[in-house]
Amino acid sequence: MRGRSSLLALLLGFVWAGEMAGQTSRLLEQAGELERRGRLEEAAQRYRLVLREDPANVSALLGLERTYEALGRLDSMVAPVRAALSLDSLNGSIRALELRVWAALRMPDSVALAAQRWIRVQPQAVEPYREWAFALAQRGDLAGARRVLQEGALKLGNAGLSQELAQLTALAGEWSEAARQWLVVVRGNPALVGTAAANLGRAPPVVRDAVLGMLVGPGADSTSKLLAAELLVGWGRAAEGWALLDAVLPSDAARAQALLQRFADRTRVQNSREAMLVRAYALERLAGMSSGAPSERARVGAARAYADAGDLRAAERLLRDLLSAGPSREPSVVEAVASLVEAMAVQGQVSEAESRFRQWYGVLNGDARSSLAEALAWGWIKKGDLDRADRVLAGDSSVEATALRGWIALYRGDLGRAHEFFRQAGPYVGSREEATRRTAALVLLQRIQAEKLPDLGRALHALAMGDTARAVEGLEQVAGRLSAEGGRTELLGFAGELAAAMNDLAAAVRLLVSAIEGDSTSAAAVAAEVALARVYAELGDRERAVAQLEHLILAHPESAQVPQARRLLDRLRGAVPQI
Amino acid sequence: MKRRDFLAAACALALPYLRLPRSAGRRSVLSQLLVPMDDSQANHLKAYGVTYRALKRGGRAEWLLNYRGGSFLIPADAATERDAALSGVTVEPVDDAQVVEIRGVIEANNMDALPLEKAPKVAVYVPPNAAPWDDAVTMALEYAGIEYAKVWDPEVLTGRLADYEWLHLHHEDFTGQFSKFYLTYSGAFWLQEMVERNFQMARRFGFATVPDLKKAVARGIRRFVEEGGFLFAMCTATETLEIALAAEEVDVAAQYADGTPMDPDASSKLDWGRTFAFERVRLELSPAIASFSDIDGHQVNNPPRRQPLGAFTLFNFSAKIDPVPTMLVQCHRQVIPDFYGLTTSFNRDRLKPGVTVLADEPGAPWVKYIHGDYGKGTWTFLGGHDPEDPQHQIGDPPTDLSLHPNSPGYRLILNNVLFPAAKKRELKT
Repeated sequence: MRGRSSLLALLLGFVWAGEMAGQTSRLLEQAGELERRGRLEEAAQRYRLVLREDPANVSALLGLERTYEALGRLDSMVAPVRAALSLDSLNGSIRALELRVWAALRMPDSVALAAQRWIRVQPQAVEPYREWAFALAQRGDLAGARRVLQEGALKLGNAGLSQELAQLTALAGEWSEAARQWLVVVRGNPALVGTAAANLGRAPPVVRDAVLGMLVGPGADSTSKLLAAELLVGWGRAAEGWALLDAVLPSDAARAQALLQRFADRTRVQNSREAMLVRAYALERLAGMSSGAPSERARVGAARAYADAGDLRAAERLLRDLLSAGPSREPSVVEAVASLVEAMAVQGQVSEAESRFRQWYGVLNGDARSSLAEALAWGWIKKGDLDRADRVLAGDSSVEATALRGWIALYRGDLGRAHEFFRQAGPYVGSREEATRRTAALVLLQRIQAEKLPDLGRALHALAMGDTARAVEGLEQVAGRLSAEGGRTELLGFAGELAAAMNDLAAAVRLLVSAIEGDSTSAAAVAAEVALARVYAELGDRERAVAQLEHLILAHPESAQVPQARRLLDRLRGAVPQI
Repeated sequence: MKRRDFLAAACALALPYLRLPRSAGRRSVLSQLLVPMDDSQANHLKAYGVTYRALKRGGRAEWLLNYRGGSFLIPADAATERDAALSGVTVEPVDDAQVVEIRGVIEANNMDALPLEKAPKVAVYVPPNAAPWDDAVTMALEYAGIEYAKVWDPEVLTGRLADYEWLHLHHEDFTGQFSKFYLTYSGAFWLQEMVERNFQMARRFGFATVPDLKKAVARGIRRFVEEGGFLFAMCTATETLEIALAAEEVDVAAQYADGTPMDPDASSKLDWGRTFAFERVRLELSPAIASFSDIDGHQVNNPPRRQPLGAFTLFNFSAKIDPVPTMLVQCHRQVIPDFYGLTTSFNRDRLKPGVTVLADEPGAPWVKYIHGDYGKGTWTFLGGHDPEDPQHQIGDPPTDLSLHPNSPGYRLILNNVLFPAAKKRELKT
């Protein structure tokens, strides 16, 4: 009988405890919601209800701290904190709360006494010092906070508090001293090098050399140089960072690999040639230190980075090594080969690019073959060899190739065929920029309506080859033979914009004025007005630029150019920032 | 060719270029232009500029409160039509019968027609070499094409504010602590320049410290309002102006600013009887936290207390009984996304009892936009830095308002610019 009663009592006890826990959780939830809505008195009342049953409930204590602080009644926290500590004197959260409360009440002596009480019950803990310093720093006493940390460091050894000390020193703007302190931290725990670099990385530019001087000056060791290398790469000085890292790479292969990978990753987000090159160095070194798939991945990455940085020889050297083992269809290898061939074509090494294209043709997938063929064709077009461009595309029936054939036909002056190819390719092929360029060409062809015009082809081809001056001259000559309705305005406007782009502003004004004079109503003439206003602005003739734009807006209020004209007008009048 | 023939030929040639607005052919019966400010308006911000310039040219206008988003009725002269066309501002020519019809609608609803008599003289308190692009008001004024003068400490201290009707303050720190960026941005060129310029100014006017200088400037601004000026402040100028006024004899500045640490009991010594809007405020004591007090509800630079952005709602007022607050909340949107600033919002429990709340975030303990009278003048405070750059950070590119011509947040700023134009009318509040 007694056994049953005990069991029943135990069960009831469990039920009661479960219900209490559920009620506490409900009250805390309600209090949080009331706090969020700004009903602080009601929230505080819920927190107090929780504490009545469970005086050491940390969630309720922290909630009460927040609400009392907002209500300006933090002095009411003293009693709940004391009650909580009498039940759980070793609880770090409650001890820290006590410090914060006294600090907020601006009672520094009580803060110190509370901290000392905590230290007495936990003499080997770093938390009392850390929280004491934090409470002081929060109230603006940075010097006091540092004194507390120094005292703690003296008693317990540096390890536990040196990180906080370094952070506080950085916060006070003493960057060189902060660097020295971080160095102590990193020497004790090399894994914190990233944390140290993140904190010191916030140093303003004017003090960065002093920070570096501290790290790499006399007495510098590998740890300080590694930290300096981290900082340099973060500050966009990747080459200097690499020189330091390269010199102090540890002999432990695993650690060296981790450092190289981290360094390469950090340079990935930087777009400068220097960063790409340094990334390539780090990855190539990493490839040499590893084997198998990781080594291959690093080598491919290095090859791409070399190609991106424009060092095609180095990229090719790596890829040759990579492919000598046999053809690889690994996507990363395909991408690296494609990058290299494309970079060669873009840089004008079209013969070499085509030869590598043929050599590695088997490695490439269909998409890569197609896009590289186009890159090569453009390479030949820019070299002036339209026949070879045509040959590269032979057998390629893709819409991209059709669009490119349109350009080749246009450069030959065969306007009819160019029109037909562009029409077949449609308006969406290629990048947005390329599609816009093609549509503009199609509009021009429709205006001109001639089947063949070799002079126009030569002028446009000169432009594709980068000879803008010859293009402008050719376009002006061709325009002279056309009527206003037959494309003259478009060609003169286009020539004017090209002249402006190559900074021949006098020629630009002459061409654009000619475009407008012969035709005041077409869309091309209105576009020429905007271009002319831009040129006037470039010449510093703000008055004429404004007059031109005002004329356009008033005379052609429905034109699609009006928003652009208004925007330019705002810039000229200083109504919006000159970005 | 005779002169008359030449003119005729020239006119014929020029005709295609000079396409007149739709109203041109009916000008004889179309006396005015309605500038709608509802969603049919193509450029709300420039509409204020067109109205301002019409007043500047000596014309009279009317602000049709609550009528189609707070529209304007301006004279239909050629200069205004041209201005509107160039600015891309939508205008609707209206004849006398249509005006009568509009007045009937206004009479029958919570609307009012407020005469605007003269273009107000506007001054913006800003350091002499500051670019206009880091201040929402100067950006709005520049974009709308509203003239303004720049004033700074010397003008305030020598009584030159009396030359203006409207004064704007943006993110000036009137506690003299350089926006409390001193520790975080130590070494940054712009901060060094700001510190040096302020120290020079303090020396020039015989103040021992920059905080002392700024307190004197704050008092000058209060005098301007007391004597009938219109004050509009945004961002941290709102909060720090109040603290500076309340702290006349109390050290509220950190050691780096004036050589002595802040009085740890400063909060209890402040005199809020000297301020416009707030009371019972507690100051932030840490010099390392770029926050000044518990006035701001959002505490953007105080990570443990930072609050997320929501949206604020403009209040509805009775146009015929309360024309001033009605003018200040004219907008084509009732709910506007919030935006941070060093001071983003104002805690409701820190407001003085007589303050008029113009906008708040429903359910939140803070308000966004407030207004009140002081002496013969009025003040209006709007929290936040830039209505179209909600997370504004130091170094961010400036906002290009040509990309935000219908910004409801910027409209609130421009409402304040035209508000003094209605000064002459006897206002009911």
